[in-house]
Amino acid sequence: MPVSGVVIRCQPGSEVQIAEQAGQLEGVEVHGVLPDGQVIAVIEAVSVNAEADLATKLQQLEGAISIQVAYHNFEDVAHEGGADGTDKA
Amino acid sequence: MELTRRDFLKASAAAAAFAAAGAPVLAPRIAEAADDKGIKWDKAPCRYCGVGCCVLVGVKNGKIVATKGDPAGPVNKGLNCIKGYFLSKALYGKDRLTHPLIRKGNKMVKASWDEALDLIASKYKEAIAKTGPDSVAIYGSGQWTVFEGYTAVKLFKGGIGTNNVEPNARLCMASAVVAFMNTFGSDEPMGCYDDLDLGDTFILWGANMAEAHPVLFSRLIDNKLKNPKVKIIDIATRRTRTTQMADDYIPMYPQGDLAALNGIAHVILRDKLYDEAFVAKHVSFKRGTENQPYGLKDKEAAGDKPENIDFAKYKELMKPFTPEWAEKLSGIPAAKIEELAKLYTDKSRKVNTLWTMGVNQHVRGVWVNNLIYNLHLLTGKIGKKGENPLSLTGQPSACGTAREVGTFAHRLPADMVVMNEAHRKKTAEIWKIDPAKISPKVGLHTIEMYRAIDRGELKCLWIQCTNPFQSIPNLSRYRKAAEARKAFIVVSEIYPTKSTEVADVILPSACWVEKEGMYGNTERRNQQWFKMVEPPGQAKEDTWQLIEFAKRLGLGHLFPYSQKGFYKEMWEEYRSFTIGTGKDLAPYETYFKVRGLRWPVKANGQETRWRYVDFDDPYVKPGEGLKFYKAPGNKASIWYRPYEPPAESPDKEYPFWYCTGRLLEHWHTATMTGRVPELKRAMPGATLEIHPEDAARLGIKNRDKVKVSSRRGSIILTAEINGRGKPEKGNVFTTFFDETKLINDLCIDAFDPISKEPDFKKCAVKIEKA
Repeated sequence: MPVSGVVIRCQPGSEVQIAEQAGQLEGVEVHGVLPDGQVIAVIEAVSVNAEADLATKLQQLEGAISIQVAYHNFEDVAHEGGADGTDKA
Repeated sequence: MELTRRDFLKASAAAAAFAAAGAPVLAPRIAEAADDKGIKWDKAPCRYCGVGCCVLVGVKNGKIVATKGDPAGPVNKGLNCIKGYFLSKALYGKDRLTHPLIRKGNKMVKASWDEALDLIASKYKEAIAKTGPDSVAIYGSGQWTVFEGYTAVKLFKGGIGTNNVEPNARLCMASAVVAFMNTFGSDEPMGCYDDLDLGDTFILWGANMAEAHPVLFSRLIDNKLKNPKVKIIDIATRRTRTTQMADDYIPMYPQGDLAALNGIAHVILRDKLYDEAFVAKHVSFKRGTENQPYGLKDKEAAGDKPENIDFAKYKELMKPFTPEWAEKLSGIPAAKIEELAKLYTDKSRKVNTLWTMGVNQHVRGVWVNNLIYNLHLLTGKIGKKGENPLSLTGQPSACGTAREVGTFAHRLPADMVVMNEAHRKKTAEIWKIDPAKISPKVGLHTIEMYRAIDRGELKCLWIQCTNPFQSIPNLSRYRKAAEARKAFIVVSEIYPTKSTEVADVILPSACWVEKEGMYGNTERRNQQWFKMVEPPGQAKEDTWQLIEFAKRLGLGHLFPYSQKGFYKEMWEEYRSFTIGTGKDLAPYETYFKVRGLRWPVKANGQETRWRYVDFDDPYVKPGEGLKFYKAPGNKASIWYRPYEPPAESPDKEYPFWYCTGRLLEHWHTATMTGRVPELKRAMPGATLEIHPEDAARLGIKNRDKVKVSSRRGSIILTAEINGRGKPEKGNVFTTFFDETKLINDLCIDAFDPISKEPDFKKCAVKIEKA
């Protein structure tokens, strides 16, 4: 399962609420709330796509200014590639 | 064991996030030790937008398994935006192209590289022999690496003998380029991203930075949260995420920027708020050609013939542009125009202007760029730390490749142009070719290139690293021409796209860290990276494809680089164009360790953050202060540019303004970010944002299907009311990423007569319930 470490920049005063709401999302662990209004979280999901979905949800939380990704590991996700693109005859 | 590894990975993720947020945590070393197990890290610039974030790419067993914001990267300081999730996805989509394909009737069949390249060469040779070199072309990209763009320019301009070389950057940066050249005599900004940290007043004209340049917007917000003086003013036709963080949102009519900027200048002149000494020393005045056409007819002639005027004449010409006049045309209240003039001239404030596609994709885009510079030149708020105009770019190497290498129909490397004999001569010397080989005739600009296919004049087109058959305006005319097989079309790509659909040959390309490369970002920063993984199947990098083609045309001698020293030798040759021009690049190896360097790079290897100033730019002697040394007489130009209407405005039949753009999660035509089905769940296909009052009047509810029609086509979209973007009344907005909704069918192919950049932001549509 891919794992990412993210920083949520919050409108001043909304960081505690955002941390609480973020923590309720399945796959999101809040690791800390910094004094300057940043929330540190770890996202874990079944696929990179699901992980990005969660990040988008965090971005849409009331008071969230931005979500940024510091670290992203997807080493145990099997990569599928190389379909040949040929039209089926 | 698995649990332990996961725990370590999560600790690593948290530690990296804490560190990037400026709060190192205890014992990160344990996490790092675990994290590093088997992963080899190397640096690269991000593959997506023009910000040029520094990333670290982790490779294990020949595959990318992790990415990080690069903590040593000055652009983004350890953090990537959400698109960072798709850096790996861009490479590992299931439908990646892995071998050449050749059209046989309606089918694409597998071919060897030799077959494909022989076919391409035979078609190009045939066209050149029958109808001349100007009947063939290449259409590239601001995502081309410097090496790819340089190879294309040298091959087509120096070898084949045509200037039919264009980048998709014509669609995004051309207006900015012309204004840099006609104002300062040299392309690209005097300031840099440091101004976002050091300034206190940021005026955004039609730029949704929060979604289009999220990392830069975060820097702005960091500055704002630390400094209560910081003000962000958002002047736009639509409320966005940027608006939410702005101190003031000023709604404006489409095309109203021309009037508002002139209104502000009028107040500055009327109240003598300008910096008289600065103007006298650093500025000359010009007037260009007015009432030019919009390029709606094929081959319509246009240009700009400057006339020198003086300050008195400029003041006289500006007299009619009162705040009340500006209000009528822009919708911005006269009092607000006065207020903006006070803000722009406030001596206690460090004022920066930021803009991007709202200004550039404009039938008078060059003019709006000029009008922005006018304000900074009148007030002397330019060339200072924390106080500059900054034109933002959209693609990772729009600057480094399209602009600096010169992959436009009129350009050569380092600000030179094909129309200038001395420039052709210098280029020919470096390329070791006969100067007569480089044509003095400007090639076809982007829209004319596709029109020339429809007219049957352009016989062969090679597209690399971009998706024009989704992205150009008035799309259906050009798709029909391609589908009618009016030209032989080659597409080098990594995935099937709307452009590969119309190709005669599809070539599988290497992408990003599957090859070595160099990109140059918005702030003149060149970043190098090494190849880290193999491309899939038979995919090859675009330089290899072009050089193999060149050999088949008998032009292989243009690329005499050794296998081992390929990139270095090509770089050093390219770099020789820049030495002594004020755009000096560093020796290739210099870029191996650093997280990019901003040119001009000094003799001591240091970068230049601010151009034209004696405290930083090596071309300005100590004591000279500010010197626009690339401009004639060392004077930058203030241009008289009046208001002129858009090419098409709403009327009774088509009563809405139609504006297109992008959103945070998707990039351009989503060739790379769109390989993510789940993403489309969170952010489904293109929607039509509409004002709630307009929707209510038409009986449209949120998520209703609506039919949007212009004079050029119709499309069904889902209405979005009070979503993340909220257009002003009478305006609708949609995004162009969704290949199932070819929204550019509706756009008008009108363009700026000087820059030839089309206006994707303004045309007239009607909306009906579907």
